[in-house]
Amino acid sequence: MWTYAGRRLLLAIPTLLGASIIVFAMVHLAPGDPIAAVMPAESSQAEIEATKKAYGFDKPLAVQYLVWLGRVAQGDLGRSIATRRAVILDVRDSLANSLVLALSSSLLAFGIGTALGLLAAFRQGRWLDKAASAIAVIGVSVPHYWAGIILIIVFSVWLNWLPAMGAADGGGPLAYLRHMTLPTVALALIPLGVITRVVRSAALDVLNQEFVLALRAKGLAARRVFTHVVKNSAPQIFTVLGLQFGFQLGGSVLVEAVFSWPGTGYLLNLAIFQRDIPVLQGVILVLATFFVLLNLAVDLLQTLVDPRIARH
Amino acid sequence: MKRVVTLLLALVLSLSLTGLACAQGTLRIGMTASDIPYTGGQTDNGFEGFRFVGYQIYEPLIAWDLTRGDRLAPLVPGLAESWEVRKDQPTKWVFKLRKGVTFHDGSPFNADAVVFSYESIKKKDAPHFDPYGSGQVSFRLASLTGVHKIDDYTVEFETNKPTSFVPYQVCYMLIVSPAQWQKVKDWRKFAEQPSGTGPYKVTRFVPRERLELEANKQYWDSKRRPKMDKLVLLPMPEPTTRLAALRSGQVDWIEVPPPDSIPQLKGAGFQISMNSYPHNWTHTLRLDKEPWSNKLVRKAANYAVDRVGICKSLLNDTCIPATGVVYKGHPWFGKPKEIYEYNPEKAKALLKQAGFDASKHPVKAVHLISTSGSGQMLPLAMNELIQKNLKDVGIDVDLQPVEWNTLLTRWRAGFKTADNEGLNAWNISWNFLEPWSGFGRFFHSKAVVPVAVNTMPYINPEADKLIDEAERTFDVPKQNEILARLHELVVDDAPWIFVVHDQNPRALSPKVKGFVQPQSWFVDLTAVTVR
Amino acid sequence: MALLSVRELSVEFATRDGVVSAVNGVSFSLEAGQVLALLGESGSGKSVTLRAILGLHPAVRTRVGGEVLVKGQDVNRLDEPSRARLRGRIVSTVFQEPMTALDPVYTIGEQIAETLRQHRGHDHAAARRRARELLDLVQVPSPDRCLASYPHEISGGMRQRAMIAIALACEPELLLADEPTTALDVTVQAQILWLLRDLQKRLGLAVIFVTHDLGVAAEIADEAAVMYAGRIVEQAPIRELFRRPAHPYTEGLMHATVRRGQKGRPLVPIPGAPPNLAVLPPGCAFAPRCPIARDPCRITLPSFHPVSDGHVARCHFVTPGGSS
Repeated sequence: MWTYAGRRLLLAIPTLLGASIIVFAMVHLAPGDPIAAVMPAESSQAEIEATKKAYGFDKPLAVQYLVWLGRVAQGDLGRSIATRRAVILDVRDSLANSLVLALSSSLLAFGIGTALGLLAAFRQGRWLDKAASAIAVIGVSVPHYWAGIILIIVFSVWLNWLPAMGAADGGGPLAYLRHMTLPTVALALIPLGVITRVVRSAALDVLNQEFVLALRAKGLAARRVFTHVVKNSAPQIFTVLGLQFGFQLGGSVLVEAVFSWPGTGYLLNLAIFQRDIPVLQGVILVLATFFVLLNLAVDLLQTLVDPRIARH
Repeated sequence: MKRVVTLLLALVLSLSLTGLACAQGTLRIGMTASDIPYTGGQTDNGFEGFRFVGYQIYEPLIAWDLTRGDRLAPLVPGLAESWEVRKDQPTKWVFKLRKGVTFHDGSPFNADAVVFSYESIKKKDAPHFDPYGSGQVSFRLASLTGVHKIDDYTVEFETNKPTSFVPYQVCYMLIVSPAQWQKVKDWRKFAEQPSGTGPYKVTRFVPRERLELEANKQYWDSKRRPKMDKLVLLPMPEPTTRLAALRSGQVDWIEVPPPDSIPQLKGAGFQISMNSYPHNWTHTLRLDKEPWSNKLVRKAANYAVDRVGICKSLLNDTCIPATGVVYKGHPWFGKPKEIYEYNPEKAKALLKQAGFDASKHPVKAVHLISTSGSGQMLPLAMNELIQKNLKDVGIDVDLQPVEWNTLLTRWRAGFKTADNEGLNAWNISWNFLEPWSGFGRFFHSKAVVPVAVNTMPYINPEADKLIDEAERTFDVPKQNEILARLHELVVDDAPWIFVVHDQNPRALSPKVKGFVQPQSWFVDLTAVTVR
Repeated sequence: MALLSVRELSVEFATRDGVVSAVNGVSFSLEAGQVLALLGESGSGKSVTLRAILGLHPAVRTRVGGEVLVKGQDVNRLDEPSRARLRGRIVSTVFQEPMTALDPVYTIGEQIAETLRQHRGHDHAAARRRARELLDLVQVPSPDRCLASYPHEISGGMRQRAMIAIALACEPELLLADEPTTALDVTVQAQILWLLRDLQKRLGLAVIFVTHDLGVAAEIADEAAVMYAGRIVEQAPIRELFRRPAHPYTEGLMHATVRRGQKGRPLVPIPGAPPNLAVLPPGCAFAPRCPIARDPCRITLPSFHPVSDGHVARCHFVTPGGSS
């Protein structure tokens, strides 16, 4: 088990290196000038060139990449052009906020989605199944930023119950909780739909297998049969949970923008518009690393629940 | 089940009530900036940065009087009590500094602070040189070449040539505390614990999220000591987010509410504050190439645009029609011969006179526009309407929308690059706070790209003469007269399609009292109270 | 009282193509210790009948009619928990394919033990002890290793033994064996069959043995019922059936399968295909394939005609004491 994990971890290194090259190339080859974006509109071309030089953006791309990689290897992601804070600090703070949101929305989506999916599978063809499917379809098809705006209109503007934007207002845990409620709900919609659907079909696959009939035939109580089905669907469920959690982290750009939630998505959004290359690179790299590790964790978890996957 | 529901309701209610217990006298502002403007002195995010961060924490030697809305905001003494150009040496300016002013950290303001601040912008080898802040403001101080201390409360600036525009440059140089910088010796750290002399001082700085300021009770001008305790600045680039935040009571003031939300906001009791200020929204035309090389065609285009329609139908009267670089009532407006109103017949006649014909020989042009952007208002909708207006008189304009920063980058490079060769105009909004940004950079033959941004290029010896004369005229009313003549000339030449002047709408909660919107990009928040 | 008495059992499924009558009025009964072979091609309703005995058909889109009396209790009228108390304890099942009938993510030991915990309330240690005994009973050579194995880690024969062990865990009185040897290698088939026969005798089990293999039926059964299109078409003591098949379908089956003592005779497949269960003909369902069918066969459904004592067949042309 541990050697397997270690080997998978080693294999992750080339993946990450590849990711770093792609990240670097994408960020640099995308149109837009990192310095021009933070300079006042009225500033002249000469002023911009001078600043560019100060930041080392005048060197060849390969050199810039190696310099960057060398610093990344030492844990230094560089400094933001816009705020001049160390990128690692920006990434750390925003990652914490995004993780909170990703976790809360994932928990919400996983909880409801898994329950709905399983219920739907066990009540296949009945109204509960149809209701769950309808919820799933709505979940995956409603754009979550739109849902976010609707939530704001209803709960912030009309009812005045919950704040519309920001994270904390410096008001302590309760205020933080209040602020994260709406983005959590908005962000939970898509994974809720996806998870409901995947869990339903995974459970149905299992339910249609003969051993379920055999389990019932030997007189197991419905509760125990349910446990068997869940355990058999678990590998598939874990896969989708892991993927969705990853998406939650990386894919919340729009929701974080709508709610001005200071997470990685919001940071990414800002960095894109400000062409803040060090921040962009830092955030994407950290997210990519996170994604790779998450996949690894999901894989390991699967080997734990499914004896058919060889552990070596 | 019922109990669970009751509990949940109680929880939600208690959560929502905690939001109401806010401190009295706190003004929370939703800015359009996507980030907190740089707090380390020479701020960024353009004039919004100056508006809410620069001019609140720091002060220039010469400041804007922002207390009245009925006239263009004039320059008044700030940290300098007086200034004058040496009669014998017109490249030297003597500033008498205000005494008894202290920075937020308690250290005194004096000539050393002025020299220190100047060097942080202009002296590249100084240990306290701030490359970032310098990049933001250095070009606004283009004529200044040096400063030295005469005594503790007198400094002398030097310029590269005799120019009367010096006060218009000095007003952007913010004075930072040398003592505070010596404590941290790093501009990034300084930005987190900034120290100026302004009416507000920073108490909390959460990068990218919020900046909290409190009233500077020791502010030197007793008339301008803030009436409220706290000021909170929140970056909210999304218009809908700002609107929701205002309507949900999370902020008391938002910049630029979406125009179509204004009637609703008014109906819900919010205050909409607007005023003219030096902003124009134009199409800058390419003058060395057909079709805009023909003055008659340019005039025709200016007569073809239904400015009133744009303001009424698209922008809910958050702007006024523009018939020149500056608006009517501005000291530089003068008496232009042409007043461009909506007159398609006249436009057609002018086109015919120029040898064009809607059916046989239509005017064709490609204009680069942005999809959004600071000060760009509603570029897509407005440009579609303009396109239709022009089409009606026989001018076919092909609109090429690009992202805002792309537009700026391409514009800076001028029309003569490979990318831009096929273009005939760009649509960008400008400020005209002072003579250089209003005229010099666009209409002087020496300002042709890459020196400055005369991209068209507009080459007119008479304009050069007037600009130079204005720069040499140190008497402000006389200078204004010269600039008015220049404006008359430019309006008649129509190198731009003048479209509208923004009115800088902002929406304020009914609790906000005492705000006067000046004719300026900046605001005075000291008289504001929040009930 | 018979251990099992099935009366006029019918099972209908609502499908997209209409209502499929999988079982139509099946009746039979079984005494303790008796072995009944249910014979017939696939799709003839054998397995559906078995599931109906356990009340395993889902409530949706399925209609079950008639009576299934297990020790006098009508399964069709019992609630789900009461049915669950019958299953595994009175009536157990051995499935055709142990690979799919065992839960792949539980060890054999866990799967035996959970049955014991369910019905007997055994604690962990007791369940394990009993599981080991059971594996001994079904002659698994290394029971401890088998207990700790997952189904995919052991051979097909071992899996089927494990399956049988699970079925026997709570000492049932009736074993339903649904083609328990079909999926196995020929040599293993024989072993499992001997095991089953041996266990049946030693434990005095009643068995319903579903198979399409007449030879297998002859090995194990006392009595045989031949099913066609959801109906029993012939029922007789096993020797009687082989000696005197009365229904043309039974005869066809015999010609179509290899059987001991019939070496050298060519196999003759039954022409045609089984009928569509959604649109059964009004008369004898076998008529379209029957070599001796006449007009009445296509109009009226034949009732059971006695052939001899305890031997009946649903054919218009059966005469007592003689073949059709």
